[in-house]
Amino acid sequence: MADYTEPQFWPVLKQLAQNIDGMDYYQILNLAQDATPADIKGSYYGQSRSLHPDKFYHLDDGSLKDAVHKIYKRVTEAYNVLRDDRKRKVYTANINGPSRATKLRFDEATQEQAKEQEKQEKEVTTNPKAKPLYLKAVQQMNAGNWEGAFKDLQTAVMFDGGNEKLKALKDEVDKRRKEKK
Amino acid sequence: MAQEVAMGIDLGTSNSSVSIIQDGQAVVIPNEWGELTHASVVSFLEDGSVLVGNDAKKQMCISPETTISSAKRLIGRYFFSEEVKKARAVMPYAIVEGPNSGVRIAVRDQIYAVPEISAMVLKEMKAITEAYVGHPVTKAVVTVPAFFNDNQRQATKDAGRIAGLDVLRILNEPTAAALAYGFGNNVNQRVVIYDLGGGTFDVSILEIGTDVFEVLGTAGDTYLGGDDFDDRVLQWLLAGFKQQYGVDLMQDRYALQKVKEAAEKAKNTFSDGDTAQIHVPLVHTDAEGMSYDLEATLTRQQFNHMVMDLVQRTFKVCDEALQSGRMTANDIDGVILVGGPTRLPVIRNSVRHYFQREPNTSINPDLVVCMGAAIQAHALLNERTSSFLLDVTPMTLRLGTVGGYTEAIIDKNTPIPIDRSRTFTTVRDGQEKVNIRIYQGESRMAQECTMLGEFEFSGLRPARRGDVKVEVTFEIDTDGIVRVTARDGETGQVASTNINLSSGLSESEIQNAASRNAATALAPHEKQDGEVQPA
Repeated sequence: MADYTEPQFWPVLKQLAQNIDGMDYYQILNLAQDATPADIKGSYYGQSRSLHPDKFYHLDDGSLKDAVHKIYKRVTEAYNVLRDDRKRKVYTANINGPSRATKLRFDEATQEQAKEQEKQEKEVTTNPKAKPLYLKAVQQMNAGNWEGAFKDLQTAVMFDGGNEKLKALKDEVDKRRKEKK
Repeated sequence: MAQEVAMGIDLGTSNSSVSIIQDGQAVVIPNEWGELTHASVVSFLEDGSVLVGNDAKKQMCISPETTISSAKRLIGRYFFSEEVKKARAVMPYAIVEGPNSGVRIAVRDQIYAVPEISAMVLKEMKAITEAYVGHPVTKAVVTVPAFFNDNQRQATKDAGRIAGLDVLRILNEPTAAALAYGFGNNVNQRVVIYDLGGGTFDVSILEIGTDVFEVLGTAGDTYLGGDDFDDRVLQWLLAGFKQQYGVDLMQDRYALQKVKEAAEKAKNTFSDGDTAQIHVPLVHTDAEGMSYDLEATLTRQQFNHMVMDLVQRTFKVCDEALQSGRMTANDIDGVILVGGPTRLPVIRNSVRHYFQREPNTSINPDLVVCMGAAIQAHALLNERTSSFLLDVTPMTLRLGTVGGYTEAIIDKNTPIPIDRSRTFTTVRDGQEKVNIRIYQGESRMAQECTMLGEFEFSGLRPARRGDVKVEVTFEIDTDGIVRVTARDGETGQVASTNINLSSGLSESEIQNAASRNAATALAPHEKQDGEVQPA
């Protein structure tokens, strides 16, 4: 592994600090977009090993330290986003989309997007008539009453017809109900 | 060239200690009497010198108004905070309000900022080190509770500067302890650091690999420490005395100090004993000249019962830390105990029960933090740093918005150093400045968070409203300290920044304090029999 504290690498680091605004988090961590969580952590450790500002603490070159600081802050930022599945999903979609250039850093708008997505994932149905039935069904499932849950879900599906999630849940409960019989 | 010496200083609520690396080992430095821990007590003597350490602690009874203890409980706090209110009720010294709701201490016609008191303790640590190595030493890593907020960290750093130190790093205490334990040979262990100090409680969960210490999550309570255990015993003793003699010793500061001391001693008994016999002779003299002793017997069982809710509180914090790292107690490979109060069997047993494993105490829990700090200090000054620390910010950094609300900028437990930018637009034609307030805490309500300061960015170019975009960058550095800068989004010109309403000290106040600190002599330590160590 290259020791970046050696003077020969200083120009490289200063150049990298200038270019980093044009790089996405995968590029910063040197990873493919399908990297596993273990890859992400491994790369974060690797980058920290060579680029943590503490490694450069004893040096006197102020502009080098600034460069390292800028790079390393982006490394922690990249790790912080990519280690979080939800944030990672939204981020990855964004940088592969048409407005890639403005989405290289995870900002408030992206944060909102991620939150919205989470909300949608949590909410099986938003249909005003299907929702109370769904909630009732969940209670019955928790109590082990599959028959009752099935009936409520059946009605809920009638109100919110196109909802695949709801349908899948109904089928699952139907299976459990029959198993019990 | 001789190896540069850098100190690791554990600046504790009750006790402090200092360590350096010698021959690759962390060595805790003794003072001239061989003591390794030094009470964080500063006594201002009549001749203008200050006595610091275990001798100063003895002054708490003799001269309570001029002897300052537990300054760490006050550092970086606002005068109106609960902790300061509490301290004003129980501390015998004068705590007064300073500018911007800061805290000052009045002693012998002088007014001191809290970091100046801590700086006296640091000065003592520096002197102990210099006496040991035989030459001046200025570089140091100073530790703080992981759950300290930005105001408290900044104030601690200021204390270092006032004491004439070059503070290399503000290091989190649990992280320092993990460094001292080292590990390193096992692959990716998950370790919990349970750190109960004199005045603060921290839990950090670290993943430790061959050369890496990654903090996965941290939680804490800066209002909970061993002092609170003493306080329970104290209140019990006071209530008992009142019941027996109808006298409230709370009103007598001299007596209170005596009973406080007895309470602490009783608590320490339970580290290995089952019963504490408490006897404070002549604690009170009534109007007729009759004197009374305070006498009581406290069993371990009674004591455990008294403090059980405090012990429970520590595990609420453990729950929180585990949750933040999305873990359960089962995912933990080891538990390390840090801080003197963890010697209490009630703590050890409860920790064993909670984590279902035997806690590790192989390094002295009073010294482990300063040893870890010394290791980090040494690593920072050396080219061949073999391990590295990946720490996190303990609290969410927030931006004040309209109507007393806040929004999160950098979430708690985010790895540091890190930065985040926000763009603000002018709302009036020809607007020259932008003001923002920043906070730390977990509530959307500004009131429930701690304000770090109000920043004013001025010198914006004259333009129509909405035309000037100010890009504000919030940075948390490797010390966990927040920095805010702003620049014009278009021209890139850096806006000048003023910090208003911060509890901290200004540059000139720090300079003045440093001069005063340098001009103050440390008093020599006396032995029990009154003999003074020859200079």
